[in-house]
Amino acid sequence: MSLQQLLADAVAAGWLPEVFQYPFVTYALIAAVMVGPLLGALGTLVVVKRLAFFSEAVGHGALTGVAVGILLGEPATQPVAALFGFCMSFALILHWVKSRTQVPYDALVGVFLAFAIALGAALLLYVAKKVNVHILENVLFGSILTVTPADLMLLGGISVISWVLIWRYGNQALMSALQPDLARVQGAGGRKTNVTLLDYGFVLLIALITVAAVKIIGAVLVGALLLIPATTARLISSNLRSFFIRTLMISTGCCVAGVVLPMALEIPIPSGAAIVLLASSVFLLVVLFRQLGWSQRLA
Amino acid sequence: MEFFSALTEQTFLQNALIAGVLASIACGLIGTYVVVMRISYLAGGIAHSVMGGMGLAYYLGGSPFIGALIAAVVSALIIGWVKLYWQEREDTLIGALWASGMAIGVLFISQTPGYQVDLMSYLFGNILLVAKGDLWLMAGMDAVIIAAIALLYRPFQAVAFDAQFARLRGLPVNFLYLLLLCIVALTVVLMIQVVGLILVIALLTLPAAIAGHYTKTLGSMMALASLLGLAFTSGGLAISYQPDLPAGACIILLAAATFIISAIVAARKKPLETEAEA
Repeated sequence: MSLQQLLADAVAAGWLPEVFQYPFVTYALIAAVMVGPLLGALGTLVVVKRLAFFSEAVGHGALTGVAVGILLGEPATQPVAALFGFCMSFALILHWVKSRTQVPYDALVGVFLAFAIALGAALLLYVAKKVNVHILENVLFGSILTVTPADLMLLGGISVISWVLIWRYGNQALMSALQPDLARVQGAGGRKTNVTLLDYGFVLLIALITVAAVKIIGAVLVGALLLIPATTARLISSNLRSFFIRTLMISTGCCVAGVVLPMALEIPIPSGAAIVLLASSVFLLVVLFRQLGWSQRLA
Repeated sequence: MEFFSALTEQTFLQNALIAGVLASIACGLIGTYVVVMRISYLAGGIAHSVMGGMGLAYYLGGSPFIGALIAAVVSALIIGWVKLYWQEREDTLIGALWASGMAIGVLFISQTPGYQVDLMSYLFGNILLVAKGDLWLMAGMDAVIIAAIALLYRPFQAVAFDAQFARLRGLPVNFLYLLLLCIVALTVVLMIQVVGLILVIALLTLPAAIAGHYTKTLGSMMALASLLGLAFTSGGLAISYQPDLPAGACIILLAAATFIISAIVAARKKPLETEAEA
């Protein structure tokens, strides 16, 4: 890979710290740069639509997807088909049931989540006897060591699809999130907006990106990265554009720093934990600054 | 049937069974409130953030149980405060607490020297490792929960169903709400012993949700949920024994399967009515 060569040269020339000579660091960084903005972009919608619990549930569903994949004989480090298949059908079924039942949303998601993690835990602990226990830990909390070039290709593909969809339908989705009735009647950009279809598309997109991010952030923690950057940005933004851009910046920054810092400081923690801790610290700082009355200057 | 003969001989199995009984009392009583008040996301947040306290206690060489207890109550108070005074950000902040607690826990556990197999038993529970001393602690917590509900059954009911009216009648609604969340936190810690923190939310909501299909009052829902919890914990333990499966996961799978059957039956019985309100 030429990029790898470039980085190796930069290390040799003394421009970059030594850690960059290892290919897995490069892979993890590329993954972080791709995943960060995507999570941020979707996060804005997740926060506006109040789908926090839903995205946590889909994230935990990844646990089950991995277990099913390993059980069906996919390679333990890369159960891609089962992961995508399970998470996307989980999201679709949950959304479908939601529109067809009177059960309160919170209880419904709770039950789905409960069922998915029960199945996932049972299967995972069962297969954990066959494979290394640390795979479990990687799935739960993320690990940069497991990112392969194949993952990056997949992630790149998902990024392209997602960005095209966000660019094409993002405004409509935001409008239907903020004003569903208005969007239904009027449509954004002169077109009638199909709110139901948009909702399904959005739910699928969340599942897709959750799965894509599981490698470096982990199933348990991925939901948080959809939420925290957007919540933080919302505190310091006065309009939608700056809200969107700041969310993207915060989430990308946290992803990259979460990958680099533990390595630079030689702290052996999973990358997902580092990323989430960074994001929460940024959030706390922003809340503190706001309390001190600095918001005017930041906004 | 090997399970029953083993039960008469092995103390660890007897302990596990008693732990299941103690946990199901709490899960029936409190799970009912969680389902009725639609706060399963809140309960999930408390359960996951407990990991931070456990990790810290583990790192400092203290008892993870005490660490869990403190973390649970603290996060319950934070969540309650957010819910009461900063409601527009409620769901995202719970999500943030949920993940940060986990991340802190992982950080401290990874910093603790030595073999880290304990992590998995925190996450997925290990009912077979419950010791005699833990049982007494669990029984004490059960007693606190039962006493609180016995004393405050009506006020809690008022807060759960119509908080505004309760406030109008002069009840200290905010205090009662926070107290209830603290009791939820206590229950979460109690149940982590049995099914682990990832599965707590399942054991908390499933029995009560099933009970909600068949009961009309809060009290009967609690009773039925406790009985169901008892059936699930003992049944799951028995199922898991022979093929050597993880007990916590078996308990939850049993509960989930029952819920699905019950939901289908309930939907057939009254297709157009809304779900049982109670």
